Amino acid sequence: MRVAAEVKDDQGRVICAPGLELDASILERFQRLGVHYLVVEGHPVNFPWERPLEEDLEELEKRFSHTSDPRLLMLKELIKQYWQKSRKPE
Amino acid sequence: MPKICLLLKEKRPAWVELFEKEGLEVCCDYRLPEAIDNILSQPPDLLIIEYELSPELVYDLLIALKTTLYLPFLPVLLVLSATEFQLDWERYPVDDFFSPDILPPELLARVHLAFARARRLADNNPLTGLPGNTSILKYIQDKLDKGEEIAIGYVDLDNFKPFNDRYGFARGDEILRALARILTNVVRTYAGDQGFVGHIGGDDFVFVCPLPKAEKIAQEIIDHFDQVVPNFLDEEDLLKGCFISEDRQGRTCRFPLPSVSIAIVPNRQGRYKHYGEISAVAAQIKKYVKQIPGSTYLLDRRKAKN
Amino acid sequence: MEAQKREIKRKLRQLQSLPTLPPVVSRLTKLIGDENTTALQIAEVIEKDQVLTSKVLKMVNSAFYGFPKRISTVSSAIVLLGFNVIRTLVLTASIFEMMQSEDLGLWEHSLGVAAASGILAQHLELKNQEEVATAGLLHDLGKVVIRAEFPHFYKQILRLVEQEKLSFLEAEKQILGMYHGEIGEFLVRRWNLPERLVEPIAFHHEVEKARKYKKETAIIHLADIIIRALGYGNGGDPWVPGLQDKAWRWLGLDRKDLEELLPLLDERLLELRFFTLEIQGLGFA
Repeated sequence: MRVAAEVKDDQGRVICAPGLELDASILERFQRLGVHYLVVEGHPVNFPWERPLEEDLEELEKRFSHTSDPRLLMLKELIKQYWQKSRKPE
Repeated sequence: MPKICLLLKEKRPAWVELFEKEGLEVCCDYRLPEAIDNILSQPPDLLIIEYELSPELVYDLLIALKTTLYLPFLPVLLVLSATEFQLDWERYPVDDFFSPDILPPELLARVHLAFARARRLADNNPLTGLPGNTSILKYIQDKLDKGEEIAIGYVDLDNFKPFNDRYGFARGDEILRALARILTNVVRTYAGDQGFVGHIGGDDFVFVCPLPKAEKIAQEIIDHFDQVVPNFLDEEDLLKGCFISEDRQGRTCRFPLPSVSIAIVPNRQGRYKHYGEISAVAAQIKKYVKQIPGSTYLLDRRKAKN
Repeated sequence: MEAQKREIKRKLRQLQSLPTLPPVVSRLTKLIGDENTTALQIAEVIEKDQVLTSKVLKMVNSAFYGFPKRISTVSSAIVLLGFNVIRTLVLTASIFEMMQSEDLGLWEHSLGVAAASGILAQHLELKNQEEVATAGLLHDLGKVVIRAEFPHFYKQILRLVEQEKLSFLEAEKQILGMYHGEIGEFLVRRWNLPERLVEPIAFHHEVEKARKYKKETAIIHLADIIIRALGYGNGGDPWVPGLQDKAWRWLGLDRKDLEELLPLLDERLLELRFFTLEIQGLGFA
């Protein structure tokens, strides 16, 4: 398994560049350095808080159901576009 | 009216009444966390605390009060039962102790003695609470007599005058108190019991620490001061990065924002014998440091002449 | 209603300390027990908890230290208070005896607003970004107070939101005769917190009332909206609050700005999700 993005410690300092091959001892070292998460190459992972995109979009609509303010509707559109773009299945 | 704070295991209305009759303001709290909160934000003039309440928490509180809050002269009386007399007195920064079944006249006498002792000891600067010149001189001379390898740092607040002119004395006092807090905390963190901080007067401070720690301490004081100083500036000045005001001739002048400069005098191999020599050397180095803009420190690396 | 408002204020005057989430305190206690822990690591955790942050700021701005209403960030507070005082503060922090499921949601909402406020402040090139993030973290402190000190009213408010489809804000006004902005303001003024934190806390739903810190207040107002829009955490009701014209005008943002901000915010929120996950003790490795 390989690191796909810069690894940062808990103070946001970069401690490793993308491309490093991971093993148990490296992971342990990262943990000691205060790394909370890292991104690896491969298929998208399902985070425990993530729902299918359709469900999220439905919820998004509900949250905006009380408003007709064009600026807020613009915000909604932007969020929608961003999600559709960033969460496209590979 | 002096305030006396009681932190006890059980309510003792008799004691409260006793102190109130003596014209003392009494506060007592029976829930430790809240009591500690209150004490740390509004320290009393005297503290009576029961050891059995929670030995560890009591110890933490005492250390916080006496060292971090520079209240070394705040009298603390410990209530101890006979079975606990074996306490580690080196470790416990208390001034006196008595047993829970003490008789009222003795209790009062102890409290008055504690107040009197605190008054005798205090040569602290009224603004910052830090030890003043008598204590500074005594501390440094004592270290010199022992020939200890120490460093003495003279800390100076640069551009304090334009700051005062711009914002007034009250805010000037605030920034001096903040600097005092920073000095105390940094020296405590790196030098522990081996460190000392004093307030010479005005915008002049001094710290003493073991020689190897001096540069680290100086750098951290500078970092922390520069980090905190924006809290004391108005946004417009912060954006400009300087004060703009008129001098006596009515010309517009720019003054840099406050910074600290530190002159460090090392006492290598017992080079100095008297405090006077140290302050003379410090005065020379200070001249150089003050010319450098921003917060800086300078360690005297010159060799002894003889 | 007036009598009730007076009664609420009376209770607020007596308020000693607010409880926080037990896992935050246990994580801090663990950190403090480790000799190698630095002040910075402790600050990192405190900065993620609205109650502890307010506690630390209350202490450093108390009259005793001699610079009331000055200090607005946790990092400055830690530098000035020192490790020992922070340690004692953490060890004596009170916690919720019963943590409810909404509690974590309210914490996440505040964390999200802190992140969004910081990012907006950065985008608008404000000098005091850390402070704006702190204001964002503390903006809903009033809700914590209602939850902790007036649990009975809190339940009534939630019921009203549920049954009448009112916003949390409207429900607060009906039940309490005041709302969380006023409650938060009342407390942070008593605690001597700087005006630059007070105004955003007090006026993030009434930005026109801000006097000296209009931009900061408007940022918190918009950050609140964005975080609610993203559905991050729980602000008490499921709807995006209304955008105030003045706030929008003061900030002068457009579509392109928001488009640039969303990915930045998303990355920051991802980090925070890991934090809350860790706090929940679920672990993820």
